[in-house]
Formats: sequence, C-alpha cells, structure tokens
Amino acid sequence: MASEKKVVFLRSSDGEAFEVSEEVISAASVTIKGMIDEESPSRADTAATTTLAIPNVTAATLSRVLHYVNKHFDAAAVVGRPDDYIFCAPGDEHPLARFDDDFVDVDNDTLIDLVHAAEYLHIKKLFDLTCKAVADKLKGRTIDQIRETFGIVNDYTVEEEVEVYRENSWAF
Amino acid sequence: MVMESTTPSSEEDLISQLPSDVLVSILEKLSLRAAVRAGVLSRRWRCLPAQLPRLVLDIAKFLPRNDPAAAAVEVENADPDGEEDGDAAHGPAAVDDPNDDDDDDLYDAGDEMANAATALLASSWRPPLDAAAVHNTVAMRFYLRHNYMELGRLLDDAVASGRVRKVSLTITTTYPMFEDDRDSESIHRTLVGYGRRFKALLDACPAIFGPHLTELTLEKMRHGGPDLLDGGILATCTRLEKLTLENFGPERGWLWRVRHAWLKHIKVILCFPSAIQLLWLPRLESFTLRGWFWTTDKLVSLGHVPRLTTMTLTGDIVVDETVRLSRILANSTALTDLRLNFSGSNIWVRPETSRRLTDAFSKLKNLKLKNVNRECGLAWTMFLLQSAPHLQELYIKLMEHNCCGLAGRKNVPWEVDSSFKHYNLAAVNLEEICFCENAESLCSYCDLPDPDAGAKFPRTDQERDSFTKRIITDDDGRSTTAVKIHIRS
Repeated sequence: MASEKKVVFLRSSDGEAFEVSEEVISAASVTIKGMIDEESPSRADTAATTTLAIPNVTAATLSRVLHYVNKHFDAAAVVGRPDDYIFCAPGDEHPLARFDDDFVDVDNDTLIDLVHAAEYLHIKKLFDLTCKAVADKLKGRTIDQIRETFGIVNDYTVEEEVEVYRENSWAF
Repeated sequence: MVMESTTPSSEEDLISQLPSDVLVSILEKLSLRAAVRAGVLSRRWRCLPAQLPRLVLDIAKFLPRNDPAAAAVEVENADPDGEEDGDAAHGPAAVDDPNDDDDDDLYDAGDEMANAATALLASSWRPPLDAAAVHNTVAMRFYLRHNYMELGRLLDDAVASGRVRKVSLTITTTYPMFEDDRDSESIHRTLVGYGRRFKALLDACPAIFGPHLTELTLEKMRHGGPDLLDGGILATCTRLEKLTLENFGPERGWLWRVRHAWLKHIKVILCFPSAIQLLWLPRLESFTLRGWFWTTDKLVSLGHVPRLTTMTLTGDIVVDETVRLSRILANSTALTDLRLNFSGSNIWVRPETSRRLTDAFSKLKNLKLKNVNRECGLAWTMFLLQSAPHLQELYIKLMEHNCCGLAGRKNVPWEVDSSFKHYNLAAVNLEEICFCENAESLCSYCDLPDPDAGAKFPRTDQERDSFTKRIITDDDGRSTTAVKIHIRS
C-alpha cells in the first residue's frame, strides 16, 4: 500500500470535511503535521483514514486555504504545469505571483479570516502573504479611511486623541 | 434615526480582534511611519508600534524624498549585505559640507529622527513598562551632526532600561570623501573632528557600547590610534558579531591586531591599513578587505580563525607589487570561498604553486575573480586552479578599463605549460564556470560608460570553447569533468 497516496480529512468548524494529501498538508501546515504525528502510532495498523477537526476555521475559509496549499505545496501539481514553469526564465517573477495576487484579492472579512487560519494552521508562506495584503490595505490611507474600511471604532476620548497625535506627531 | 451606511465589510471590527502578535506582524510589513500612524486608530492599536520586534531608525528615511543626500544615502544603504564589489560608486558625493550644520534638510531630518526616537524609545511616554514592549532589535543609523548626542542618549537610555535586546548601529558623517577641491590637511582635520565626536559618543553611551551591540558600522572619521577600536569598542562590546569600518581608522598605514571572542564578520573598506593581523577570532566567518596601504605578504595574516570560510580582497589603488596568497592564507583551515577583485587594474597576486597554497586551498569550493582587466588575460588564473583540487565553482568577471588615469595594466607572467593540464586540471572538479562580461561596465573613477567594453575579449562561441576546453579537457579532447558552462554577455 506504500505506493498509494495517503489522504487525511479536515473537518471545518461548521462540520464540512475536506480531503487533502497527507504529504502536501504536512509540508504546508506545522499545526496539522503535529496532529498527524500524534495520531500516527494508533493508526499505523488500521486502514481507517484520519479525520482531523479544525475547530477555528470555517468551511469557506478552509477550502480557500486548501486551494492555496495544493497550489504551493503539491510538488507534482506544480512541476506538471508547463504554463507556469517551463517558460519562466530566471529573474522572472515567481510563477505563482499572479495566483497569489488573485488569491488575496478578496473582501476584508475573508482576508482577515485567512490571516486567522494561516496563523492557527501555522502556514508561514500564507501568513506572510495575507499579512502583507492587509498591510497593503492600510498603506496610503488616512486614519479615518482605515477606520472606515475595517470598521474600527475610534474609542479615544478627545483628550486621549490629542495626546496620541502629539506623541506621534513626527509620523504625520 | 438614520442607519450608518455599510462599508464593504461587515460592521464588526474583525481586524482588531486579531491577536496582538498578528497585528504586529502586519505592521512589520509597513514603513515605520505608517506603522506608527496605525497606532492612532484606536486604543487597541496604540501599544502595537512599541512591540515591533525590529525598529529601524535610519536618517535616510527622514530626509526629503527628492534630496540628493537622501538619494545617495539610500543607494549606499540599498544592499547592506551585498558583496563588496569595488566597482560601485565610491560614496555619496552630493552631501553637504560636514562642518556646516546649517543644512536645513539634514538638520530637520536629525530633529525629526530624534522626535521619532523619543516617541518609540523614551521611557517617559508609557510609565508602566509592558513586558511586550521590548524591541528585539533596534537598528539606528545617524550622522555625527548637531544632535548626535541626543540620539545616542535616547538609545542608550532604552538599552540601559532593558527595553532593547540587540542594537545595530551605523554612525556616519556627511563628509564628501572624494571631492578634490580640498587639501589633504583640511580633510584630515575634519575627519579627526568627527573622530572626536565619536569618542565623545562612545564615552557618553556605555549601555550602547556594551554587550547588546551586535552590529556596528563606522564610516568616514579618523581617530588617534588603534586604542579606540581595540580598547574602546572591542573590549566592551563583547557580543559584537558584525563590524564594518569604512574610511575609518588612524593614519593610513596603520596596523590592526584583532582579537575578539564573538565577531563573525569583519569588513574593512578603504581604511588603508598596512597590515591586519586576525590573531584570535574563534567565531570569525567572513573577512573583507578593500583598499590597503602596502601590497606585501604581511597585508593579512591569520592566527586562530578556525571558522573563517569566506575572504574577499579588493585592490583599490594601482599597485605594482604582488602578494603571495600562500602567505596571506597560511593557517587558514576552513576557507571555502575566496573572492579577489582587481578593480580593472593590475593583477596583484603572484602566481605560485606550493604545498602551502594547496593546503590553504584544501577546502576551497568557490573562487570569484572579479573585474579582471581583459588585457591581463586569463593564463595566470591557472595557478589558482592548479592549487585548488576541490574547487566547484569558478566565476570570472572581466572588465575593460582604459578610460582614465589607471592605464597601464601590469600583468603577472605565468606561462601555461602544456603538460600542466593533464596533471592538475583533471583533478579539478569544476561544476560551473561562469563568465560574466560586463559589456556596459561603468568606470567607478570617471563614471563614464566605457566605450571599448566588450571589444577585446573573445566573444565568439569558438573562442569561448577554446578557453573552457583548455581547462577541462585532456589532450584527446575528452572532458575531464561534468562541467556546466554559462557564458553571459
């Protein structure tokens, strides 16, 4: 059975199960690799497939995360894609750069959910990508625009606000 | 009552619910200024900028964008870990007179940086010391201008009170080293003046110049003697890992004897020492020397440097003498990377084949020969290949340089004996040969594109083949190694 690819199922917080290659998800997620390693002694001699509960991540977010993971961490899928790789000369931008750009081109709530998931699942590349995308939304906007974009409530008192602006006046 | 219009997001403030360390990770992707602005969003965000793990306060970031001084500083700064190439521009030529502290932009930038440092580092601004508000590293870069002492003390207080774990410091001056309208006496006086300011800073900031300092760069100043460096800095900065000296030091022709338990990387750029003795540096991994006073076999000597893997030597002035690498590298036991940069001028290594050189090269894997003048040919390089049985990668960059006062390349004679290739080159394990022709090389001395660049070196496939064949094939034309050949033009 060694030749057959092992899969695991991930169950989202809202109860939906997703199938993913054990090898791929282990390469991507430190958290899930840890869960699988903990499970493995008990399932070595059973044929049953493992299902792991991911209580902090919804189905919508988890399916996005797995889309990313399969794109970035499945070596077979990546190599077999001539349009991505073969015509890519050294020095060109990374072949997945376009995919990454599209991947984080989502509404704010979805993006924040992805940051959460990447942090919980400990997928460093995805965490960096999504943090960068949030940072890009903060860039070039005034404080009021940022508050409006993300629904952040200004809870300073008038005195506090004067104080905090004064303190950081060099940055404005 | 009118409902508030909805934004594209839900009205719930999801972003502020992210854990603090995640928000700090987001702020890390912004400029310091933008990160600090975000601290104004709400109470939740106020404490976040103070938790940035790496705080970079660089004077260049406080200069106006279109300021030539800012541009020059930015360029200098662009690749701090980049390899010393020797053919890059020599430094910011556009900066203002150092003795003139009235330059408005530099003055304002210094003040603004002090404001930022006060906001981010000063102890008074948030009385209860939050455990999270400890910066892992503070990197600061400033000029020895009007408020250098204020900047130094702010950092010193922060270090002394335990709010900074590691310090990376670059202290520089605005002195235009390469303007010719000043006599050497006046240059010397000015540089010594800066050296005095630095000494004052050193004395006033014992916390900075202590075990928290991990990286130090000192540029464009002169001081009285080696004592400042050895007694004043190396003795107290016990955890210093990276030391870069550029246009720094006592008089030209100084001797530096280095002992330090922690240093990993040393760069000595345009300090023109007569000799550097790396006496006891158990952790030293890389050493770079660009520009020296006398070209002798004693230029560099190695004592206890068991981890020294990378050495870069860049000649900066025309020299007629040569050095024997077997002498300079005697005692090296770990050397894997050697980079020799000839700046388009004379070849200053003396061809030799000796047991000593083979010993010094016994672990050599990568050899880079940069800016070899085309007129010098490549025959002389054979002695290096002969002595380096485990070489894996050879990189040669050729340079054409006829355009200014450096004319008259002096080559080193080295007759390639036709019998030598069987015996030696079969033992060379070359995995990669990379010729990089810089067809549009810029001369660092006259800043003009060299019109003749690329004209003389063999450019046809046939000519390239003949050189590579000479290295890697035996008499019968069989390849002795599996060599990848890259020729870039």
